Amino acid sequence: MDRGLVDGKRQSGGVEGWRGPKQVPAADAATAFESIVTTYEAPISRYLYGMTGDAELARDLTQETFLSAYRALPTTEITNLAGWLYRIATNHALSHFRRKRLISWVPLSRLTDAGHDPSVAGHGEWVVTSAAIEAALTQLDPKDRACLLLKASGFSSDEIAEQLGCSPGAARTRLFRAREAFRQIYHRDDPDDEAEVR
Amino acid sequence: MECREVRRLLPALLDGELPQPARDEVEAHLAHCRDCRRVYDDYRRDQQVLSYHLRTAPWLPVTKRPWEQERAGRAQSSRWSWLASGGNKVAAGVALLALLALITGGALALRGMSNGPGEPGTVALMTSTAAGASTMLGPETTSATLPANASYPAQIIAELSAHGLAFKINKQATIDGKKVTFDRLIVDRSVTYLEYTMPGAGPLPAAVNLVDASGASELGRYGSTLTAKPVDPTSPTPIEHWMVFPGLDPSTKQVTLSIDRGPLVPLDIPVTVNLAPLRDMPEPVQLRAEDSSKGIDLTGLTLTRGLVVTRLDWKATISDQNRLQLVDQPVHVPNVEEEMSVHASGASVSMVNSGETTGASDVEGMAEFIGVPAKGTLTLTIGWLDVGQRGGASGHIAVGPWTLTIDLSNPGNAQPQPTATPRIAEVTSTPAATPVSTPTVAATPTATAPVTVSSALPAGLYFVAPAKDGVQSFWEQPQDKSSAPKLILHPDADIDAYWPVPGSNRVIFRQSGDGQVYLLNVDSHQTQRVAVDAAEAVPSPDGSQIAYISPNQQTLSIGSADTLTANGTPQISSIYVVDNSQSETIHGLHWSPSGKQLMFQLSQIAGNTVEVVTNPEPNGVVWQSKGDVMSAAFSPDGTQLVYSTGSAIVKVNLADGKETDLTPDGVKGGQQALLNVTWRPDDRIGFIAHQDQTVYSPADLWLMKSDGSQAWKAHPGLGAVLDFRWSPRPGSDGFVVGLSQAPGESTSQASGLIWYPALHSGEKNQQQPQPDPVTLGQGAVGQPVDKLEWAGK
Repeated sequence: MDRGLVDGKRQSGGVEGWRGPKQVPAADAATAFESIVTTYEAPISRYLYGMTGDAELARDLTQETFLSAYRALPTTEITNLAGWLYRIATNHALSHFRRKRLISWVPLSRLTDAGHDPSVAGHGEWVVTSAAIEAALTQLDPKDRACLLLKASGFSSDEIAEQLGCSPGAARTRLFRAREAFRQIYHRDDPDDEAEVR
Repeated sequence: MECREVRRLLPALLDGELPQPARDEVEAHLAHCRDCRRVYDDYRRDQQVLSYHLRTAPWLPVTKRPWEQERAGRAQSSRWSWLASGGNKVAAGVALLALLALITGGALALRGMSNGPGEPGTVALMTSTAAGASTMLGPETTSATLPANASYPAQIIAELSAHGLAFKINKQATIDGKKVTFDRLIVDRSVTYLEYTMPGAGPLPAAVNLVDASGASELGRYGSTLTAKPVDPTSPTPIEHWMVFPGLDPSTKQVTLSIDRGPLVPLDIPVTVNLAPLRDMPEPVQLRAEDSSKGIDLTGLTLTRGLVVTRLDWKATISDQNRLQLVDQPVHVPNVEEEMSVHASGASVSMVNSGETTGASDVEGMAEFIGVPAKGTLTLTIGWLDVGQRGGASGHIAVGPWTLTIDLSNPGNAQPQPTATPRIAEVTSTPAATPVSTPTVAATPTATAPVTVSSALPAGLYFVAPAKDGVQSFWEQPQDKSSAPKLILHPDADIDAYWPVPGSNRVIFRQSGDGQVYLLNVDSHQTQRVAVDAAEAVPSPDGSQIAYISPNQQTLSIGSADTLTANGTPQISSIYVVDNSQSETIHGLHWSPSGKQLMFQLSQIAGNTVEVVTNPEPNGVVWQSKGDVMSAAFSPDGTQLVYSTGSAIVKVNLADGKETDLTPDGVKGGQQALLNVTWRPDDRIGFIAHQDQTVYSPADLWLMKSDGSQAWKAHPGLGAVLDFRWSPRPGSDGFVVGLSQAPGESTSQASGLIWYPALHSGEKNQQQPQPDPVTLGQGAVGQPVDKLEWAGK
């Protein structure tokens, strides 16, 4: 979490000549924010599920996302609310992964046949199973995973750059590599798929 | 068009972002190229698959609404105060209108989402003609003005201008179709304001970096522009905005505002500044305090006096959880009226800004004041602290109050004033002897007895750590321990590996954005592409050869050092190729000390193994591990190898493959993760035992002789070690560690780079005091700190 500046004009003790601001009736602010929660709860939670594979964890991270948004909202001018909320959600997800990272000499470790059962699908068929998608996503670096899921959520490369905190050029390159990595992992056992980059 | 080029453009085509004539060319290529067509179809299918995955993903509704507790709790809080500036309900209506309008706009921006509970379409109060439909929306109005006594930041800026600290920029630019005028840069000791005018609602649709002469850059907060007035989003009239940055060093003469406009070239605006008026301000002072009664220690206190703004940074650590008084509803906090208040004797002080970040075991905060006098006392009272979830209590507010009293004439020696309420027991300070003070990590005072170990830091220490905008950048720590690290390279995307070129001032690095390797000159900071396409490029110990791993990570080749910058096609010879059918890849290349062998990790579906091969072939694979290897090191003479499986330390004789288990009894069979294996020139083997499998747990350094005897816990309690290096000084057992992020802690001012001049529990000299560990880069480098290398020039 960033130590963002909060416009905390708290009432100061022993102060002459400077008064704090008046309060908005709590009900008004509550209703406005509740609308945001109601609108975005599901998509953000689903995005976080895509990132973590765990619905309960996704819910906890969603709660944290809205709390951060609530705190930052008064001093933030937002033109793209969805983009901004997904940025916060992405930050929380990436923080979570930094905390939970298993030390490994290898950045990506392959799962043994997780989610793949080529015997189930006949030759030429492709069965889309959530387990297979999740297994493929797990093998990606969290930022690459975020790239793909944000793209699948409908954001542009420039929005994704903002959400990941990098330049648009870096975001495009990461997106390219992430897509290629996902393609290679997800289609690994597809007998028809032999296209390789020369 | 070649296939290679086409492949790079396929994502843009898929996203509809590929302009003509490239689009026609790519489509023409796809019509006749079966391979590229297959790749494109894969990309398209994958996108649909991922969309489907998101649409059908399970989700649980939020059960807790912690923001409601915030609303109820902070009775004096100005959470929504900007909406109601001046108590003007009309202004509140306008601002809320703007906010609700955003919900519609934002919801429509979500593409590819199916309908579900709570999705777009269910929020109904969206139009400006809905006035009267809800008590929230008042009548239409233009933007209201601030009440006369609202000071922040306009008053601050006016005062700083009067002291000559406002610097004209007066430059216009068109950003995202909006005409923006950058007006001025206004500087105080701990904060810098960028003033700009722009029509309509902000924020500036661009990232702004403030870059100083050393190349260190601070990112102005995205979307956190502070405005003086509630904004009418429909008005085309230009509105004044401010963007806030941390303070600059008073010796700065010129800064550059670097504005990232996305696909356009960044706009760099140089601004000449003269910060002489700040040089008379006292240096930031470190204070130290301990509390003995409420379970909280206030530490990490720094007081930075500026001409107008004074800033106090503090950190509250939970020292005794049992003594915390925890409550659920902050609004009913007993005996405490406000969350935070400030008072100065005989002066009128205002707190103009504050912020806290709650971690797992601490709270970090800062507060900015104006009107702090030169003399007298400043008293800060913290009423309660949000300490997150604690133990069995469902509440998360620890009740104080804690009072910090600072004698402004002599803040280093401030004493607590006796009162009835529990307070900070002591306030002592370590006065800064040098312009940037570097407090020691150890809680006990630095030993004054003569030390026999040189605590000097060897030169040439490099590491990777985040720059202020979070991008993993490349730094050098100067030999002077109290000097801040130098930012050598701040790339577009995280640096994920680097290899110094021995005997030169160059470093090969790779950034995660494009997976290519580049050459960096650490003196001139110039970079260039390495002539060979590679995922890794690792110089041999004598610097004469480079080992390359191909971009598809399936081929290992060797070339001379000249191949790094050769023209044309550099000559490299392949010495190892994976068996393709098993989808293997290689990475993590290391040379043996003699340069005759190479070690790398081989990733297969079944797991990872380590291979050792000879350079050059034909002896081929010398040794292959039987299972997963977490960390490995050659012996100094290159004839043996030591590795960790994670729970065991094993030595291998490379000539005959004979293995010996060296795992000390103290860690055998436990839950600890054994990593960062090293084999020192004095033939001792070291490793770090982490308490559990995460990067955060406390870690102990172990040492033993290379036959496994005399194993002992050489330095316990190292914290969350991410990387570890022995000092290169012969005979020294000093070392440096890079720490990772602890759970819940922010990437704050706490540095993750620590130098241990010697083993603290000295095996030979138990009686003699050893020099304390030194935190390097405090305030300039946060966490995590990784990929340490000592590279002499």
